[in-house]
Amino acid sequence: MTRSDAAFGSMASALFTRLVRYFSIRGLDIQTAEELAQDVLMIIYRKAEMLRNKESFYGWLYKIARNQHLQHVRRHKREAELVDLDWLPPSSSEQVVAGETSQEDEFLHWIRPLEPEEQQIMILRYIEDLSYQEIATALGIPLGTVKWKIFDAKMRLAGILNQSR
Amino acid sequence: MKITVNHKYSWHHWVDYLEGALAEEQRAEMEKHLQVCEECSRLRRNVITMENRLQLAGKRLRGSFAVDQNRARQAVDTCWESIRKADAAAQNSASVLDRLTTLRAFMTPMCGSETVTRALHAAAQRIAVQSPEALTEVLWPDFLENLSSITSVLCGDPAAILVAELGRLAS
Repeated sequence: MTRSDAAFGSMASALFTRLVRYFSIRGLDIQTAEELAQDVLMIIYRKAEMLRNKESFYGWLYKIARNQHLQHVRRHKREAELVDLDWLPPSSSEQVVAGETSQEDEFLHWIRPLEPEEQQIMILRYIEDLSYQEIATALGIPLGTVKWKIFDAKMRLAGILNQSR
Repeated sequence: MKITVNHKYSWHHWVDYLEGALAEEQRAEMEKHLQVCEECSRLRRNVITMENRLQLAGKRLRGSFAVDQNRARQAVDTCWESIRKADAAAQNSASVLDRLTTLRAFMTPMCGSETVTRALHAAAQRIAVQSPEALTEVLWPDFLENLSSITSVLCGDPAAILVAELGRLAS
């Protein structure tokens, strides 16, 4: 094992956890989530030298994860919609406010009224903890679009949650 | 995109203000406006409250997806294993291809390139390998023996001995 291999190995466990969460939130069972996470780790190991700007690592990582998820969805001939939260039980913000949803699921229920791309952005921002720039890299969209969509989503969600109180 | 969210301030302005990225002078001017404008002040309150709620809810959800560390290590070990196997296969394949090139270069002046191609294929197929390029390290000695015997028929025993020696030296 070379020095860079050792560095990769110590980082890989932490990345694996993040990736399993990324795929699980998108409705994949744990086994599939782990398989896809392993595929992503292998790709980043192979292509790590191609990454010129180390600061955009997480954006790049999630871009690969997104592509792997897309390929998986296509292979299984499902609707090629990246963040389709239909697997969630029907809900409304009233349920959340009334405490009918578990605290862990609260976030996913809140973002349900948003468009799929907006949901995707919000998950990357608040679950995966990415910066605006990393989200732009991961989704291949302009930085300004990311900033606007997050700001706009927060305004709308605040309105929905305030109404339902 | 130039959208005025509220009064004279664009969303760019708002995002920079909320992220603390606005220039000092602009920030002071906006603060002044927020002190007298109830509508803008409410917007700020709502967005900041929503930001805090989202961060908290996101953190809770993140925490609920903890993966067993032993399991994570096992998965990473599996990755390494796959990477090693793939690397070994690639290395093996490159090495076999190099040897085939050497043998081909030696045999072509004696038998002609078309005959050499056929001889290589025949030697591989005798050990149930589809093509010489698909040979593995383990099968190389058997392949070499077959090729030597075919060369003996085509070009005589001295050439066959040379092919066998060259194949051994190259491996």
